Amino acid sequence: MEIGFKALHPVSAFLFFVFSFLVTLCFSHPLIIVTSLLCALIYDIKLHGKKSAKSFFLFILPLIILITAFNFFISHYGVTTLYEFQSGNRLTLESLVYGLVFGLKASAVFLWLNCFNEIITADKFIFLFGRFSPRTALVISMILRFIPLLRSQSKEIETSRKGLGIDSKTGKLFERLSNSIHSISILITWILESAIDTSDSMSARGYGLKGRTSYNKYIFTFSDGLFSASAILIPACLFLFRHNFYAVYNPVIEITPPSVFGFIVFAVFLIYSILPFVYDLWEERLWSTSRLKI
Amino acid sequence: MVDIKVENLSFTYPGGKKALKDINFEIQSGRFVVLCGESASGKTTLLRMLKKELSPLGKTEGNVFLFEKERKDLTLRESAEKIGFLLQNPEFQLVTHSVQSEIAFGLENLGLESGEIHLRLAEIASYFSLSNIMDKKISELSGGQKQLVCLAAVAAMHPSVLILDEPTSRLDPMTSELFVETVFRLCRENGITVIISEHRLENLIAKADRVIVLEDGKIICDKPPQKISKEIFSKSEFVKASMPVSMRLHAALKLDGDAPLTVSQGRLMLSKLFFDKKPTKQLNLKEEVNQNESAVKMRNVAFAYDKSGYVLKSLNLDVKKGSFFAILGENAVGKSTVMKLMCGLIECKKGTIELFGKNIKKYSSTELYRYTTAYLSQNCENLFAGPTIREDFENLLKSEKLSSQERNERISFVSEFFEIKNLLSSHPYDVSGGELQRAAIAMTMLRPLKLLLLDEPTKAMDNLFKKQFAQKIRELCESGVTVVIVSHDIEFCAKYCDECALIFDGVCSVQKSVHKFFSNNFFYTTAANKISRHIFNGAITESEVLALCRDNQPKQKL
Repeated sequence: MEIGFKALHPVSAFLFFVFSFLVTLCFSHPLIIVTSLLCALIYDIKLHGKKSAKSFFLFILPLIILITAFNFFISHYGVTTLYEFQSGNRLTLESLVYGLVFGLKASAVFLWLNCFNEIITADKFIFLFGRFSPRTALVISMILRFIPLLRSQSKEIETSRKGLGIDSKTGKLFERLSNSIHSISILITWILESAIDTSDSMSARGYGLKGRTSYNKYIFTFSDGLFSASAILIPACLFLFRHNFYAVYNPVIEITPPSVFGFIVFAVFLIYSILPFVYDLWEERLWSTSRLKI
Repeated sequence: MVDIKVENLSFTYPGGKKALKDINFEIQSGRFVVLCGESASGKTTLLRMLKKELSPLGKTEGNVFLFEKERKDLTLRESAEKIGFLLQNPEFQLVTHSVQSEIAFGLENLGLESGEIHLRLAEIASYFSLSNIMDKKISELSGGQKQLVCLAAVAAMHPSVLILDEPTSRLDPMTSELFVETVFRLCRENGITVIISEHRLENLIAKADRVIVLEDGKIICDKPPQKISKEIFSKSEFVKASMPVSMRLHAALKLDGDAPLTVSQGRLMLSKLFFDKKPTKQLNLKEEVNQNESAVKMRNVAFAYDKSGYVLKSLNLDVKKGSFFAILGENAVGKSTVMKLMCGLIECKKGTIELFGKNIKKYSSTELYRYTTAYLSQNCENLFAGPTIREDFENLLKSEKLSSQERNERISFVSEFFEIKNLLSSHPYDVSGGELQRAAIAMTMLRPLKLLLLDEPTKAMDNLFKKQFAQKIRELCESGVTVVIVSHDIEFCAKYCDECALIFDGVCSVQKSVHKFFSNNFFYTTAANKISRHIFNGAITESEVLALCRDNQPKQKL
């Protein structure tokens, strides 16, 4: 079993991510975007370690630069001209800044998505889906079972046939082609054959009886409640007091400096965004010491 | 209490094939019943008749009573809950992606509340010791674990009757023994009635309360195993070949009383026979050394699939031309790896491999696979695209540029040799596993090959079939083809192979002639050897023990 954010109820974790996405997408204030990006990055590094740092330099940074450059050279709105081409097109400060903000926004969303993938496992996803449509949830689960099976089977067919020199890589072009067609036809026969057995196994275990339930292994604890509440309330505050975080980039850059009250709201948002990271650290700390005391 | 009662049951498939003829039996609650018979003798049909949802369509006569109710009066819910059914292939039976959801699947169908399902999961996890794999995905499990999860998923529904249709045909002997042991525990500790059909009977018979033998849709024997008499042995080739060695010896020696079921009982039987005198004649072994040149020569071969570690460290192996050679060893010890190296499916990066005196790296891929060697993996259904076996044969020969007459000649030659003429026009999925194996070997022999590599060829065969199969392989060897198999099947190797090699810890621990190999071992040896070694030296097969018994006791007319 997991600890920390991974051990939370899927609903709490899901709510957290949904509102993180929403806030990041809806707000353009640099303070919010940068905070969101940094918190996502910190948590991503916590979850994925070295891999995350590597992908930051190889993927995220180039992404930001690319989006900024793209916007800078393609869009020509704004009033502050930095350079004017002979054709009359201008490069403006506004398009540069907006490109940068948009790039940061996109990478923040990407990083949150990366964390989402790690936290919301297939099981949790199926559980969340099962709330709305139990049948779809079962179908997803069956597909998740079938994909690796199909992959290993097609590999097995190739190895089996290679032993006789009738795989898709031996012989002349025409032979290879005909061999591949045979392999595919074997795979299809196999799929049909397996489907018969699977449906037998399902009906043998009572699939189709009236009143099917769906098993819920997740327990909603007090901390899940706290999490869910703050996952809704804090972004709600942010939306409610959104005039404190007003920012436009076209035609002129206009960024509201936050008031004292706005700063308090921002501080709460900061705490909210960094929460998964802090919660994980705190739980790890909590449980690393309990063995020592025995 | 009678759980199952079958009265005058006959069944005819829509095509007119009569699968069951006048079947009568009764099974008391809590019994362990073994159903056996050759393939296509009607086992699966009979088992499916007991499970309403899976019963085949066709003409049914007679009655099936389940829990003292007629089958048609049993509701689907009762049938789903009280009768658990396990099919052959665990891969196909598993429905969902994770162990937990798989076990919960049946319980959800029954409409249990989450709390109740949680309790049942806890119960099942501790009974089957599944806790450490409970959170895993199905694709991460081994074959044995998958079949165990299937069993657990059925057991979680609290069935009264458990029906298993060749559940271990895809598992190796060690894993399948463990599986059968678990099923047996369910029966003895929880009073679940078990009906199991199997082709590997040696270890199962001793556990059975009753053995039902089907032949051609009829019951020819329905008795406790120790009461299976010599009459039945002489009547049925299948029984003669499939029962444990101790029982076969008992029947062949025409002894009276209950048949010994286990090795220890078999030892006791021989001890009684020879209690007053030591045997005077012992096995006279003439060691024939195969003087032929090597077909495969492996020297200091090392192999690793990735940087995680060596599978083979320094392997030396010599396979003589025209011999029937077996590679033995535990699971995941690198047996199949050795084979794949032999035929160049994986590249030998350290050490040398020579096939017929020529380094394997110097063979072109066409020369290697078309004219030298063929490797048959465990699942030979992967080779056949259908719609008929003949068409697959023809497809294989397409690249050879033969006239259609030559092609037909080759096909009819191999199909006659392997006695599969009647299968040629069938769809590959319609023939039994053993038959398909034979068809696959026939397919490889369409080309003039010199080295045949078979991975676990006897997995899906019953003993009778193995015997016929081995004869064909022997004939093949006599015609100069070298055959190498990888196997878990000690009895098969001891009976029919020339030489054995045991792989352990990345090296070939020993390579010896079959007799020397098995007679020196204590655990890793045949049942006949275990039964007889306190009396006779070095007898490893049933026929040797039998001959020795007869030689030493002429007076009692054995």
